[in-house]
Amino acid sequence: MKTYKLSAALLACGISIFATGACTDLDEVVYDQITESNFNPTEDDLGSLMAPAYTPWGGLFMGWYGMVDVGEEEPGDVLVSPERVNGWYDGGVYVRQHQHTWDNNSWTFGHIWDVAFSVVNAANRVIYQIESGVAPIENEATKTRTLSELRAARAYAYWLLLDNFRNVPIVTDFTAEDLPSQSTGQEVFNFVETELQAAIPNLPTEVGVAMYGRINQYVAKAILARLYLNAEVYVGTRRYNDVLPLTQDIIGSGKYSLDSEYRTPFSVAAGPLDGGESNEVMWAVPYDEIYNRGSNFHMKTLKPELRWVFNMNAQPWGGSAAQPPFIWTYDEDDTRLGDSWLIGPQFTPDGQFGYDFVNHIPKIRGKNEFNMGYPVWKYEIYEGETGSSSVDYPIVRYAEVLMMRAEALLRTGDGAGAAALVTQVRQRAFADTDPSKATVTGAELMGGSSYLYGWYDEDGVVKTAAGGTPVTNETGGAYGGADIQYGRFLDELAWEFAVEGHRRGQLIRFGVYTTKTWYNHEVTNDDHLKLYPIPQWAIDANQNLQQNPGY
Amino acid sequence: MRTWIVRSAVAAVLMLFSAVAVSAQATGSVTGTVVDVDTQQPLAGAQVFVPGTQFGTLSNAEGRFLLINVPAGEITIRVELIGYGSGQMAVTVTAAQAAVVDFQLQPQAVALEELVVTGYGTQRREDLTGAVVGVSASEFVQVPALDAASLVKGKIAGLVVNTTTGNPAATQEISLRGFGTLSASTAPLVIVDGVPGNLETVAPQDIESIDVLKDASAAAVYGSRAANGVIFITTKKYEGGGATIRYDGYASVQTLYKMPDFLDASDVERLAREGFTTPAGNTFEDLGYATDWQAEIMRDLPVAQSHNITLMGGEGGTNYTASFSYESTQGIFKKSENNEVTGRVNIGHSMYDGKLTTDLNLVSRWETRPTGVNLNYMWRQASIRNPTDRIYDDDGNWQTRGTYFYTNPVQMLGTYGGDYESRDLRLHGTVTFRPIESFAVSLLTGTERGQNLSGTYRTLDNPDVPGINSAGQSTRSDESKILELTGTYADVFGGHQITLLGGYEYYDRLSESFDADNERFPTDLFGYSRLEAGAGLPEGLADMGSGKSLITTIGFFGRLNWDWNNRFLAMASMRYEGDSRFGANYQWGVFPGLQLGWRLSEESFLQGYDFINDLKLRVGWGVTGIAPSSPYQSLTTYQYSGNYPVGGQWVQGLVPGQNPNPELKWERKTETNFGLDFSVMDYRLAGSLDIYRRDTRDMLYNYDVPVPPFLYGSMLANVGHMRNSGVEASLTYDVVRSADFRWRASGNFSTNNNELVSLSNDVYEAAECFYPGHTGEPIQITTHRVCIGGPIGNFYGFHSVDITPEGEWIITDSLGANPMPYGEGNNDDRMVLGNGVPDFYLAFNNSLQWRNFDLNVNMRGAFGHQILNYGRLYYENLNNTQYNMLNSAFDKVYGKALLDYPLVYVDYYLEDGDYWKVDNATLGYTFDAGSLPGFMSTAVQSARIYLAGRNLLTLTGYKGLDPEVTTTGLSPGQDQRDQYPTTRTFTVGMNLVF
Repeated sequence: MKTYKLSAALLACGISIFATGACTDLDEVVYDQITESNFNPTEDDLGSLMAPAYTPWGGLFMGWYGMVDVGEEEPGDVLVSPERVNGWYDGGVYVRQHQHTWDNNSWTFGHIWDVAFSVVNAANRVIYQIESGVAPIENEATKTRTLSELRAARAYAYWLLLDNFRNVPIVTDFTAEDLPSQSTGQEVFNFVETELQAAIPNLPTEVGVAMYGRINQYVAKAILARLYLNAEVYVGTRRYNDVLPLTQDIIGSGKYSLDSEYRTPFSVAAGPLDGGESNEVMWAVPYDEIYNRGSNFHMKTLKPELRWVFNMNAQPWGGSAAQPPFIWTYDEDDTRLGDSWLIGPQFTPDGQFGYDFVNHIPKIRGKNEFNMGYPVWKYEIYEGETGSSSVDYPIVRYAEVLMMRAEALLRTGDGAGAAALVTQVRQRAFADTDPSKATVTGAELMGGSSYLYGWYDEDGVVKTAAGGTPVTNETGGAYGGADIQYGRFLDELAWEFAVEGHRRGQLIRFGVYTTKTWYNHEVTNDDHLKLYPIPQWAIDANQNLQQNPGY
Repeated sequence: MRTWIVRSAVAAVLMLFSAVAVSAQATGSVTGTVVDVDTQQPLAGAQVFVPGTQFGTLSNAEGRFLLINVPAGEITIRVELIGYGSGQMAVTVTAAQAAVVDFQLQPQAVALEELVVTGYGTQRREDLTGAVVGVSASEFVQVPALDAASLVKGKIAGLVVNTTTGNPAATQEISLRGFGTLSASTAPLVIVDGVPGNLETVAPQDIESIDVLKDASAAAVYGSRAANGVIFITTKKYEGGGATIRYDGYASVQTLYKMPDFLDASDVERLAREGFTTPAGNTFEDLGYATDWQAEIMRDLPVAQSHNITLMGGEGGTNYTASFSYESTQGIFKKSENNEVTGRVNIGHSMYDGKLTTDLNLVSRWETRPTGVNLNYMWRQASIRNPTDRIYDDDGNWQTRGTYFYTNPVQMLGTYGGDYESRDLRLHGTVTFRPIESFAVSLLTGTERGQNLSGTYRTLDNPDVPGINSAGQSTRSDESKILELTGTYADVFGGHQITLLGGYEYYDRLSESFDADNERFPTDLFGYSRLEAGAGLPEGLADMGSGKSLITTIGFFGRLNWDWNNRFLAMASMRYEGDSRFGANYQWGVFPGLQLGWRLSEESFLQGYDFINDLKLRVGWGVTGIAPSSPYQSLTTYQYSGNYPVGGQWVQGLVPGQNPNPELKWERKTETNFGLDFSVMDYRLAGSLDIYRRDTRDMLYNYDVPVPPFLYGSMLANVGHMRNSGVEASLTYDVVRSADFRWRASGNFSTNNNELVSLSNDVYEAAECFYPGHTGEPIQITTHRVCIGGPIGNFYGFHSVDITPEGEWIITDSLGANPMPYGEGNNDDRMVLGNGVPDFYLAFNNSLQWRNFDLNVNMRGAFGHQILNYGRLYYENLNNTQYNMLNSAFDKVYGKALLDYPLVYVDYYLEDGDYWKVDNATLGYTFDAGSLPGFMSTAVQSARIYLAGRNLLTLTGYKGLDPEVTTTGLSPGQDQRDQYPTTRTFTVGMNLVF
């Protein structure tokens, strides 16, 4: 009967076609998305509107082709993804990151571009929606605070773009339809600076659960401090003095402190939604197995059988590990060594599964066994962990503020002031072993690096080249670390921030990035490599963009 | 007797339709014989009928026929038989007397008068002016069909049907005249009895004919959906004669077509005992047991069976066809099978002297199969597992190992499972009103409802996450409605014959989906049947999802066919069509089609050439389209995606759905086709030749766009231009035409040239090349390259030429020069290594009949392409002895050294893919009527038994399992390692007509 009704209805429709036009209606009926016509957000939707200014970072930092590992650590001297018995050549992508021979089309750095601009776009969109009244906010104070937070979020994205690509287009108008034109590094620098300066007074000073995962006033100041710390690299202007008041504001606020355990900021319970055990993490990507998935770096560094050792619910893939010469730099009493890296025998109680990890990876190419090289242990591995980790990634933590201040003091001649801060950071690393070793002096920080730069040969000896002559710390040039200015401070940064995604910037700031050989990376002496190329697809899509020099 | 059986059987059906008109006027009968004009042998099975009425019958084994109760007066009798030209004669029937009329039919290699479906109507083959091919049931591939496409595999030049898997649940890969799109659907439009459907809509046994519109001039009347061609499936219907019951049944067995040669337990034991060390220093581990893992996951002898019963008949103005099909196929892997039940009823009724006719159709179909096991990945695990390992450990638990991506395949079988079911119901009705002979108006309405249900589970002792069980259910449903109003006017005046068609069509489809899963169940006993019992739900580990969307297509169309003295033929059609998926600025489009034909054989200047029976030149030009696959692409939408903590609560982010493109429209394909059809030598040799060029413009592609101003980094837009051009030829030759022995051979050839002409316009600029296809891990590199100005399908990678004594690959630079160790190569040294799309296809089909025996042999091949042999790429490598490997891993590469290198993609593993297959062969025997014993001798009209084999023999140099790999898509020619292997099938079957 239903069919007949349908037929009758359709027949009626058929007859009335030409009369009414009802049967030529092609408007899309949208059931499972919100269309522009019924998009009427209110102040209650503010959280949902703002979230996209933060959520994209989840995919970038600790995700596949993450910025932390592939973008910032693997071009450096701490972490490497060597070929393994189960693969990990992957068309040479990790070798190219290590040797700085990337091609312009690689997602290793292109990922940073894509995600940063999606944050820019999301921030622009919500700013436009609020300012135009599409998403009206009645309360002026709320409106100002929200707009400031969005501008700060956008400024952070631009800081990342400045740091990695330098010459990028600045876009602030969501309604603009023209293809953006490129800005100079100085313009981008100025933009980040003025936007943060404008936002800071209106940002909340709350910490803890209220601003968890978001940018408050102190986080914005820390980002601005980062900008000034690197100003000499970015625009050739020394701005170390500008780092000092910003870091002092953060320290003086008393809102943050160093956690007593080095691994607390990298534990599941660190964030206020998960226990709030850390008072050190200032801004984090709040990863969560259920609500905010995407952190899988642990899968990339742990080895397959560790699944049984740690009772995980997923089998790790088995790639990244520490570069052996970096491990040599640790003081034997520095507990950050064992807190950052998985060392020695790791087996199931029955001894059936596991590995005895050794600090030797013969070379980046070739069939390296899973037990070669120390996997990253810094980020908590917990029972039942799946392919998506609940451990938050700290974008900014208090130790970095202390170390930024120390570096600025060091570079402005206050070695003792710097040493006091570095000592403060070191204390927990030696608390259980030899507390006296925590203390460093200004003179030590001004000294060279203990990193034995040079080619790591298959026999585990650092040489001038494969099959070359062994080098010492004092060899100089591309080899050894003794000639690096503030090299000891650079070492301190490595020990404290290993695998936190800052190493590329540190090596550039200390003049090491293009001037030294490490592991299977040969010295390039080529400054253009300090910037990544603008992804070719971005240039293909926007002819206004000029490729960075040298690419 | 027979009539009585049938009547009883269909009584229920008839009761629904009580309008059985009984005529009481004066009647007579018509009798006569049908013979072959050459041999004068009687022809059995010819359809003898009075056109436009229900009077009809079949000729018997002596060629005789009898029509009774024919109204007295002047009538026309027509005779049709496949393979022969039809016969037609006028005869005067006198009341209570028998009129005699004898027919002598002309054999034709290609039956010129056969009707071919051309969309909203039919045409006689001799009148065709487009590239249209019709294949009727008698010409179908005779072996059990996987789906409708199997029936015409190798029968139609330019239509490529590839069977790339032995999975009974899989469909075949179809492409017509090359590959003409980058991101839209490549599936042809399938019209089943006038209504959109798919290749599985009806059971293969129910299909009477399959007709394919290959070129755009023919398909243009289907407008925005027809860019990939149109396939018409016409089901069997009553066509006169007495009521019949037909039974078709078969049983078949399958074997693996070819078994890969992996190390077995004795090999590994020997290698371990001898202390064999690979160049990289690895040894083999003998675990002390012997397991043939591949055999463990396979059935010893998978069987399939199929039964189809079709009932058809008619009386007065009413006729009916009803069928029931059951098919059950076990796959070569355990937990792999497919079961189908299809029921179909068609009832037609004619009133007021044929002025008003109705036709009601119902098709209902169920398909069920087990699911939940990733069969392809299980095959990989069975291949790489150490053959000296065992299935269970001493405690009876699954034997597991910690190795990377290494799963006990028998454990997969034992701990994963589920059920899949699809249900489909089609209801259609047509009313046709023909007030005068030359004009008819027809209204078709109908609905189709399809639903897929799937439930899967994994038990506590599963290998992936031991100790955590999980289960899920999902449903997908589609509901489509169609309304089609057509009018036709046909007239003849002064040598002109015209047919005019006009119509309106409305079609919409509402799609909905729902899925839910949960984990941590207290017991495995529920399977997927009690999802709420899992503890994962309160812990936030359960997932749920749903979606709903509607698309609408509306078209107005018209067509004029004109035939002047059978010499000049012309067709012009136009469709004005809109689709809701198109952007607001481009909702409606015009799709014209134009065809011209010239039958040279009717011209006086060819009258002297008696060997030419038919010769026709034709040319066609038309425009068709294809719509983007997803809805909403033109709209600005928002959706919730991702979570972020705000004030201590997780809130969902509100993000734009996509880059809206209000300019979005269909891909526009313009095609020009030149064709030639001929029949010569007493209709003994017939064939056709087609040359075409098809240009896909406004091709859909996901362009990289800058963010900002765009919302996302890619945007679906109409920009590209792809060109396919090619030649198709087919020939049919009656090698022997004698009374006892008939042999018809036919062959076809097709070649297609593909070029991506451009991928940019003023707004969108795409990179010169893009890199589709991927090896997967652990090699992680792209396999193909597509560049503007080049074809689809180029393999792109390192060219290996040699091996160092240490076992490292030696490759060249991109010019094939400057040999260097693999480690020194960089991305710029890659080059085009081959192409995965065959240059040409050939098919050669033979149909032989000797007395009661019939033999059909179909052969088919593809030539001039390369295949990336993943089996060798992954398993011909000594570097990881944790995984089992092929025996050929011990062969010296280039005859020089054992390979000591990680898995890499070099063209050493790229092989020529040329093959020639004896695709299938069928040997049948038809019993003489009356020769059957007892009751059967009178009840059975015809009986045939047959033996058939599919995928019988392959001649190829390719070293993999089967060279018939995927040749469509952007990365064709990949013989994946995770691929359900193809099989060989042997069948015994019978056809009975009561």
